[in-house]
Amino acid sequence: MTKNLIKNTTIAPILTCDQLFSSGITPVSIKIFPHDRIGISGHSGSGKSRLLRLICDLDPHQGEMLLNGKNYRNIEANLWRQQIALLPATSQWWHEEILNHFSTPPDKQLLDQLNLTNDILSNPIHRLSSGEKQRLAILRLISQQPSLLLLDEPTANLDKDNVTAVENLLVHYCKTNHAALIIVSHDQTQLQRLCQQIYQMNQGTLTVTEK
Amino acid sequence: MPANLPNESRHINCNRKVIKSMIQLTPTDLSIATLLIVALAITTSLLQLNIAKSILISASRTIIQLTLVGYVLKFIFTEASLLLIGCMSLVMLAIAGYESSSRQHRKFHGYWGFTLGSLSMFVSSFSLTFFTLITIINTDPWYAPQYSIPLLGMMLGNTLNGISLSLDRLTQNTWQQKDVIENRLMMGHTWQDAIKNIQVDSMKSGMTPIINSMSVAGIVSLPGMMTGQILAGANPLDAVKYQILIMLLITAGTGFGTITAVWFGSKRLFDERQRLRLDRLR
Repeated sequence: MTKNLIKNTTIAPILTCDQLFSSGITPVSIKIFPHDRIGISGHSGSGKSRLLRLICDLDPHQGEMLLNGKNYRNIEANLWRQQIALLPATSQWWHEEILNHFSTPPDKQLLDQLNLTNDILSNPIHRLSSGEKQRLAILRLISQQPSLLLLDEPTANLDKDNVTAVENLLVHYCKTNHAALIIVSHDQTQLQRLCQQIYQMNQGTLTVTEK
Repeated sequence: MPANLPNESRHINCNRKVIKSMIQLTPTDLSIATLLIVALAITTSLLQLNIAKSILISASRTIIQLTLVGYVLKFIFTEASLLLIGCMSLVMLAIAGYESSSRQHRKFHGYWGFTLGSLSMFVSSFSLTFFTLITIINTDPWYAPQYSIPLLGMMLGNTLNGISLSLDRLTQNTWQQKDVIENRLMMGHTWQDAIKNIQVDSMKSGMTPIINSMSVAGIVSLPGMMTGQILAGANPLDAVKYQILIMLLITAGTGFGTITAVWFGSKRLFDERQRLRLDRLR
């Protein structure tokens, strides 16, 4: 809390949610600052993914949201989602080739970081494993340079090495872009490693757990 | 025969020919055809196809509906009042609008499907029929029922197919590809980008049948209207001219109607915050 207060006077929040709710989610008020890494854990069906969808403005909701102090109603929905982008638990692909999903192709260094080769970009989708798709989906998301990443179980399909690689990449991205992330995960140790603050979602109600 | 003969002389010409050469069908003639349907029904029930009942019911519907419409048309043709013709065409439009929405696997909630169907049918058939009557055929008066009603009927019947096909494809594909569309939205794509593939696909599937039938017209199939005119004793070359006009009109109507239906239909699938709203389908 004190940390947030200090920040409040110096840095403006990226996202402010004020009494955000819909059916099944009790009102959530939260401020997300640059460099924040926030974790949400909870049982399946407790409303974690639904909350991410609300923040991304994918479902009808009540309450207010501000992006850099600007009300969401005054921001085109697609521009809102470019800034507050959501990574779904299962990534979807709609073109034949991987490369066509990127507006700017990811550079080699980023691919290396996630243990992917440059050749993979010219492969047809059906050749890839679910883990490869997941890592590429993360690269696809950050290539849009969002200022807040909403990540729904981003490492569920990955082996241990790749989990670490993805975590490092995400932390690095937030640092260099003054971005923040909210991550939903079943893996408590991951949330402990990655996040400064962890919330618990229980039947649609979000509560802080002390770290 | 010069193309621009005054309308009156065209009429007289036609009527004379009709009287001369069209063979009147008697109830006995139709009974023979009916017997064929009965034979088909019996055969299918022996084969346990379970469709004898629907064959008989729909055959009866054809006989009853067409007989009734014959009387209605006869009445309208003698009255030739704009009000009466207007009412008749609105009824036809409403039924077509209803049909186009009711044939879908996943329909829009509430009156939206009906409105969407009627709007597209209006664009495709009503406006084009009106346009044709006043600029191409030049009937006098412009609503002359011998021309306006059959023309509108043909337009509605044929564009109905394309429109309901394309709407069905749109709603089905959107339902199936929900995750893909939403994933694109999550990345900040606009709703237009997110559904563009499906739109293209749906519009094409609505227009493909009519494009196909244009390419085989006259070779594989002799279109019904032309056949009718020839049976009625018209000069085949005149009948062909009308048939060409009708084919082109139907294609234009199907195309514009399909585009209208898919455009407004897909817009309805998203709300003002560009969220995919499948709850608007049932």
